[in-house]
Amino acid sequence: MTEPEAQTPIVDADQAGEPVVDSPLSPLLDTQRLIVCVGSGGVGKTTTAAALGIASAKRGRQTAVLTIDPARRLRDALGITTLDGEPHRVPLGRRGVKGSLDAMVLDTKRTFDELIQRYAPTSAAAERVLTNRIYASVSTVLAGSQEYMAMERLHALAGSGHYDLLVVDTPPTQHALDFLEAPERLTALLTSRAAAILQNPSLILAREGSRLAQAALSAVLRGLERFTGFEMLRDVAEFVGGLEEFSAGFQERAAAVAQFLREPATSFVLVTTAAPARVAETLAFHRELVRAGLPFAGFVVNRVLPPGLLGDPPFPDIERASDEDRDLGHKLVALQRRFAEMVHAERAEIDRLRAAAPGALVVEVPLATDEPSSLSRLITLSRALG
Amino acid sequence: MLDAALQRRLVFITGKGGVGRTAVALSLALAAVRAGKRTLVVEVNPLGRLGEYLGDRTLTPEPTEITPELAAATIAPTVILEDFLAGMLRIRALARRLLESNTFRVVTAAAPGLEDFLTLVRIAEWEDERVGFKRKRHRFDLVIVDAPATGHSVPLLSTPDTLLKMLPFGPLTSTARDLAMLLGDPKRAAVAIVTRAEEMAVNETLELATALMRIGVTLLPAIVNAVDPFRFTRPEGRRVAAEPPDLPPDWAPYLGVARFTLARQRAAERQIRRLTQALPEKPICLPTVAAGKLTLETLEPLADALAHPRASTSRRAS
Repeated sequence: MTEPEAQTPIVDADQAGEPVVDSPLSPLLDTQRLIVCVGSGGVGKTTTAAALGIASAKRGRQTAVLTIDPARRLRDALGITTLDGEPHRVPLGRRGVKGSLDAMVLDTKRTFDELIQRYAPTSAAAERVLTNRIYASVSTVLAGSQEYMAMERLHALAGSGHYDLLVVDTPPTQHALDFLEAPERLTALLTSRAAAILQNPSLILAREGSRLAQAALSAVLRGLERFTGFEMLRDVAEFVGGLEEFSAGFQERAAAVAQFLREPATSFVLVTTAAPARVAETLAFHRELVRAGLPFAGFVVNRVLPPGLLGDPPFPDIERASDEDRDLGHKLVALQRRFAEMVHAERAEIDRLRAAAPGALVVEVPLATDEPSSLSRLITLSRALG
Repeated sequence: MLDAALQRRLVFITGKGGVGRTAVALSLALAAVRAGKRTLVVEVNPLGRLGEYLGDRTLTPEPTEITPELAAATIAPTVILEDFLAGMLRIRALARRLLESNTFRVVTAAAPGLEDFLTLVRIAEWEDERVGFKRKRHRFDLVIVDAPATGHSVPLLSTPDTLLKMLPFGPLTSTARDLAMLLGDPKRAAVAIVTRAEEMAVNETLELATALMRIGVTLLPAIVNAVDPFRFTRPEGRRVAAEPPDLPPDWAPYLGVARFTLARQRAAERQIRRLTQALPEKPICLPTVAAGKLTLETLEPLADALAHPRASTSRRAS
């Protein structure tokens, strides 16, 4: 794990089948049905989810990884050629991989479409919503709908019986739990007497029952219509009215998803780096997860400087070196000192994580000299995770 | 880079999430202030950290004076919508009530681009704001926008064009046309992409640069943030990398860190070279700042590097 990456040859994808090494996360990969990766943007969440998926496949399980918005290289590495939400088999090589890995990207709109088709009382009712002009923008723009659809898709995948383990990375959000609140937000919308209000917009300001308020409101609504340039309000009213017919089904479904996230076979993994700002955010996420009663399992700390590189004393006296060597020698000494300080600072941050969550798993993934954007690099990375 | 930015009146700073857009925007503002420009730095993110970097200030949609030459503001979509509605309603309490309504949230979600449009209108007002005798003097010489991350930057900057296509006639058309002219005017407005010397960040930068050029905004040189200031020269690199190493034999304990650092340096140089080759102008490299809280003081080295870029490491890659 701590070999100097400069000398490590890139492994061939076929090597995925080599002996499986245990990591602290291995038991999760063997027993759980859902692993949710949560963390701030830019910490390697999607990469971690993909590497966990590979590790699980190597351990013999039928695995699917659902990612929200992977960078193109990662998509290429996973063999995801289209963003249609369909599973794509990841070519993990021929020798000795007992399980399998499918990768897929969330297609928010399509998942929403399917949900509507499933819960519409009649196909005509479904059609009314699906062909509504504002449906397309609402289904993708409405706050939290992407997160909610990720959970919805997971629930459907879990029910499909095709997979032993699902791994998902959550969208980059400021609040870890946005995706949990999304179903509530959506159902709140549906139960907000929205259709009635839109048929008689003055109900929004029912408490300001004055004539002035009503007049003012109509002015706003007219202004908004001017902005959008079409009979938007009628479309919104139709849309929300159409959705209301499904409200009971939605709520039932949202409750089932919330339950699924709290099952013993579900684990939340917080992905972070050892940078102080990221660790502070991660600790805030951790408090949120605990408060929400979600099954938190541990931390994956990405891009940790390999302490093993520090070398063993005695460190030679550079001053005795020849003149031509001395400049380089001083540089090496300064570099060594700086590296040791950085390692020390990272250790302190990782200790903060351990102290905040006693008993939590902590897996460190060493910083590599190149980025884990190819499949072979992902496979190398997966060794650190399970 | 700095000169190119200072010739404009409006500079957008964008880039992949987590690359340090806010730090770079603020460093550019610092450098502009040093060059004698009255500068406004604006953050388009209600949860951004600009206020934190400015000494834990709470920023508002009205520019706060940080120093006589530097002001800062934040634009939150809900606040700007509220202002918009209050302007129409003349009663702020009603605007607030309306915004609290779930139904109204659907309505605004269904009007995509409304928030972006209002954001640009606000920025353009600052760009054009005049003060003093006969209102002859611009309030700000330079407005720097800490813009949203890649995914949202292109929709934001193409809002005026999108709107003009959607609504060729109407009450908003002349505003949209003015905005489109401002954003497309190479003398007034430009965009700088912040990135890191990492493969995925560079990929995203190249895609973003193509998309921005397509919508017709002027690109400033890309800014590569957090480049390790430590560098092996090429001969040093060869000595460290040689097998066996071309070093006194008792220096072996230093080898692990040295080779690891060299490999990271070379990987970073490869990425900087990709930017140099693919973009019209050479990127500017900014050094890593000391760990810990970012403040105006800790950002000084970045402002220095923007004002006096070292001969970039990109050409000397090994």
